[in-house]
Amino acid sequence: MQSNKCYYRTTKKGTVLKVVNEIYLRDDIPCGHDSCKECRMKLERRTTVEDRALLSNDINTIEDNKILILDTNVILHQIDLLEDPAIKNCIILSTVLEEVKSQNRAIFNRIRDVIKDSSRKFYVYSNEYSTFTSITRESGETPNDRNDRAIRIATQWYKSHLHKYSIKILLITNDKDNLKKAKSLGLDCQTIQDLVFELSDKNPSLVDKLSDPNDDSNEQDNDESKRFQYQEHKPMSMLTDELKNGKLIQGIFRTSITNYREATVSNRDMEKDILIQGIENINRAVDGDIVAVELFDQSKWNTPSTIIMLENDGVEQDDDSIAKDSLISKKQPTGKVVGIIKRNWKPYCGAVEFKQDISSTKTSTGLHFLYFMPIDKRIPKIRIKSRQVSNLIGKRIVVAIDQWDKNSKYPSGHFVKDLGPLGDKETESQVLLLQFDIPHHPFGAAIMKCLPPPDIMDRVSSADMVGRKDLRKECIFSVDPPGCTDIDDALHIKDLGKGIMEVGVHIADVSHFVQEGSAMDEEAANRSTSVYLVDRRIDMLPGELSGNLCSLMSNVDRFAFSCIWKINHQTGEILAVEYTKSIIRSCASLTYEQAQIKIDDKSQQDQISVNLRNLNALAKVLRKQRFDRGALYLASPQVKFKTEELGGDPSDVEIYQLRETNAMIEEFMLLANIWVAKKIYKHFPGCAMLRRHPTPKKSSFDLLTKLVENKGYKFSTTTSKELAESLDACVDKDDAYFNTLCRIMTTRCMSPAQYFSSGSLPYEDFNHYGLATDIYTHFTSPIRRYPDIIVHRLLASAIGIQSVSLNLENKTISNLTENNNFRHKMAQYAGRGSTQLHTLIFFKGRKSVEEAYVIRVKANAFVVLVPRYGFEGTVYVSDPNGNTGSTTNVYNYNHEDQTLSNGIHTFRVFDKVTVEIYVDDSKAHDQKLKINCINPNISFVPSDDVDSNNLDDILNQENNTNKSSSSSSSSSNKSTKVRKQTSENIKTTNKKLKK
Amino acid sequence: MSKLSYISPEGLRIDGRRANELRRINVEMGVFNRADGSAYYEQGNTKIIAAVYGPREISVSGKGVFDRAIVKCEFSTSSFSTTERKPQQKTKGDRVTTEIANLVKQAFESTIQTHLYPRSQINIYLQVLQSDGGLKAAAINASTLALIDAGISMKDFVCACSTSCIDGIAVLDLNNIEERSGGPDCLLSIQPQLGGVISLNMDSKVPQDLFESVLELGEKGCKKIFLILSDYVKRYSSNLISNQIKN
Repeated sequence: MQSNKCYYRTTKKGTVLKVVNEIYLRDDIPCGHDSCKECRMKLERRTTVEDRALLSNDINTIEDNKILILDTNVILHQIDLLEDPAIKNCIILSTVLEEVKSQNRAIFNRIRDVIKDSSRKFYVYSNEYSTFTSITRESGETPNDRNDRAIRIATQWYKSHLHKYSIKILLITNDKDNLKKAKSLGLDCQTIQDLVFELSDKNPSLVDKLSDPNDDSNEQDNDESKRFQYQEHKPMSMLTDELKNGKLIQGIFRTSITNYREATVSNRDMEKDILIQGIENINRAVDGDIVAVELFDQSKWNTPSTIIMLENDGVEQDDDSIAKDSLISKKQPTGKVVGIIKRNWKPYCGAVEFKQDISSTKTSTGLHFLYFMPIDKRIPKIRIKSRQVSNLIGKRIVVAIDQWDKNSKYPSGHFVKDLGPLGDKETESQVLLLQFDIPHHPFGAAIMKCLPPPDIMDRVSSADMVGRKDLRKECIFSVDPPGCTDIDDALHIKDLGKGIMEVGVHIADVSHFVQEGSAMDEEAANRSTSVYLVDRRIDMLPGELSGNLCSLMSNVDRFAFSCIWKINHQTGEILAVEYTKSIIRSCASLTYEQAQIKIDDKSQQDQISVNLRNLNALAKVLRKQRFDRGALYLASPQVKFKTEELGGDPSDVEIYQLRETNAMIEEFMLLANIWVAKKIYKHFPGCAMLRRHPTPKKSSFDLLTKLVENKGYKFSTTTSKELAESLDACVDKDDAYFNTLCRIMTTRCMSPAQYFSSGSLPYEDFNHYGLATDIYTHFTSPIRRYPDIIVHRLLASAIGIQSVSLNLENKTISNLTENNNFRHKMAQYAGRGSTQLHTLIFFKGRKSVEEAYVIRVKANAFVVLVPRYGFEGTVYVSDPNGNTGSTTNVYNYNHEDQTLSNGIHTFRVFDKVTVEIYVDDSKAHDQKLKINCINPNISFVPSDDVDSNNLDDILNQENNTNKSSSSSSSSSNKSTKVRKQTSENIKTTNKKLKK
Repeated sequence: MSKLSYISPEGLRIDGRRANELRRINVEMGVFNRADGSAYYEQGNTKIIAAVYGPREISVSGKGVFDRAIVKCEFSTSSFSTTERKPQQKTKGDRVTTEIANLVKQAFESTIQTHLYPRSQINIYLQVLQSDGGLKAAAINASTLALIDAGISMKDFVCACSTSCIDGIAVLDLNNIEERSGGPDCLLSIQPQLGGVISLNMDSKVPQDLFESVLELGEKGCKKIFLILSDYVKRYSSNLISNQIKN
């Protein structure tokens, strides 16, 4: 309020407008240095005690007598370096922050995180609002120059301000002009490179993190630069013009999974994706970038290549339907990339390509040039520099791309993080988490502060009991898998006489502890779900909540959200329903097995056993009704690893066993979810968080129908009920697994269920196909799923115990569902990836012969499912390299019937084969599972030449659109001689890969 | 994500104020000679002029009340007051201007000692010269000064101030950019000396637990405005007196 100068600025907005905003310049902004008393006194005079308490909470002060002031370009280019804890005591000017924010939002968020970390001593000085350092743009000065000048003036002020404390102020900038001007003002300044080399004695790893956009590395690739000359990218201004008048097309660049020299660009307005072939046309675009594409003449349009590279067929995603194969594509629009609109470079996981001759890669500065191979095969190799080659070899590392010059074949990047030794279980699990973008860092201090005191349940206050029913007298128990620590549901049942039962489902009241808008809430919303890997669990909420305060353990008081029905136990008719918050005391935590024993053992007549039997009987009634409505029973090849000691390597694999009690609990959870969905939709028709499972398109079942009918069964998919009946009828007396197989394959024809906000879809689209219900949501697992927490809040508002939140809008809920769906998918992928990893570890040093089923036939391979271990693998019938093998290996692929035959053997879907499984460890850093078919015996042994990694398979699932287009391409020729056709293309690809 | 951040983590708003700070306020009384009372009020970039006529005869016969005066208010926005110029006819009689006029009328009907002026009317004319948020509050504050200038007896000042909460922080005296943040717009007008609340208007929703702090901040803001206004009124009237003595 003190300095009341104001100035004006004009901005342009389509039509030229003069926008005038006031700026209040203040003289009470502290400089942020600990020893500066002046600033603190000034601030104390101007603010009240409360204000100061607020301020001091999150403001770091700087202690050191050497302060760095960072320029914008330093933050933009060297964010990885700045995240290293060795860099401390920095001042970030608000000018710089604004510039970073407008140029790169992601980096802005990262630097904000660094600033938040109090140990790092980063301080934000709002120089634009300070009377001492604020400047106005002069006429003829570009905004950039103005900002540079603002930085210099702020530095100057700091220098004179802290002069008496003999503190050195160092301006770090890589802008030559700025550097020069600052020097002429008598300021101390340095480039970031100089600074890092100064620090590198203590922290040698810093140098590797340095991104070096200006460095010329001509000495390295003189010869290469002559050979690879990419076309220059068009400047942005030209691109926008040409995009506007339709000469160019903008779209997201997606590299093909099967072939890195081929890519597609999808544009919303175009029916078909644009095909980009060859690295010259790809022109330095990397998967995920937004690019501008120039189309070729129609005469030059092409079909996607029909190669199927080795190892690209892995475990398929559920919704990647087999039926998509039937889409036959013709010539596609083809073009080339002429400019990059927005890069989507992320840090990539991978390993360094090891060359024998280390010294040859050494440069005059003592750095080594190395090539980095990302796990994601769609990303090109990245050239990095390092001083510590020996530390990098045999390690999983993270690398970020800095730039890609037009005369370098590969992009150049810098080292970010070391994850650990290759092939190590711990490391590879880390890689999985990074790969699928799963937040797994430990919970921060701000989040832990949100936790209630651990003894809160012993001192329940009356405020906690508002709107809460005391159900501690009821006989409530929980049934969960063994070893479960996050118990989020419990049940009770009571006979009310006259054939009416009272059934209660009690769900942990997580929303009571996770206040909306708190740090913990934000973190949970971001994590969205707990992730279950084979050997670990990444919690959504801190362990104190998930494993204790919220967990409905036996014999302790716990808060719950209850759903209580009065049900006619013969007809299953719901007579009344009540939703209430409650306090409960569970009297037993049972495992599924224990509960099953209690039900089966008729001699047990205690109350829990009797109640369990009643519940079970009622569940059967309800389940029958549900299946009568057309609910589907689906299957997945789920397995469980047995480990000898905790955290050890898997020693055995067993099929996950499902008992009657599993189904019983599931039934009541479904009931609760459906009834809660109805309630919240009634009260919040525009913004209820619901879950839907869309009815699959009829065409998606076409192929499966045909295959099943070939086996001699009727298969009708018109309604879910008919489908359920058809599935029930698919029983082969000799082969018990056939039915399960049919169910697994049916699952894959359908798209996965999704969260959505009720305001964004018409009511007809709410239905859940698999469960055959009109409306559905997730209410029953708030400890491990975020949508459930939202649903809890909605329900609490609906029954009037919680005030309606401000954020209840269709838009906010829709945004949440988007994140939830994404995280849910990623969690599934990571879970599967973890299973694959453990399967690999399990098979290390083992060779196993197993029965398997053909579930899919490809042009040069077929995919088998091994029920015993629940994994899928590809068996190749011909060598994709085409340069070895005998002529008898010519297989005819028939797309119509999905068969593969060489005259002697014919492979069909659903065929049972015997396979041999072993780990191919011919390359120590690149182990993978190999499957060979031994009955019928095919004498083909895949060549070792092709680089690949077991973990690719997971990645492949990520982009099913690509997959379907590539697989459909293979089907364009109905019957092809695979070997001949693919050999040529693959030869070239292989050469590239070997490089 | 393109959302503006209205308050930086350092605690400064877009225009450099802290959450609990008012904009600069400039006032002037007696700006017109023909009106019975007039005032110019400036809060940040919001500039408004108020003119008061009356108490005088009822203009439309039959509308008068036998035991007290009626208050009429007309509020209009000049076409040059915003960045984009509006055509003249739209600036009068639309929903927003009618609402503000009614607000002013109601506020002063209860504050002016109307029983002293039976069968008469008091007209308040408000004209916005430049608009940069907080129009309602500015209209009420300007009217207070103009009425004082006209020498109409009132029980107390009426001081108004807008508050809101942005990202869960209670914020005082919004400017134009902040008004568009989508947060609630809460207008509190009080009689600062008598301690009564004249009106409390609110657009959009405020969470219950935050409402208290929003209200509290609004009250503080009104009191601060009162200090500025009363200080000016005292100075202005002592000037008047000294001028009369000289004459």
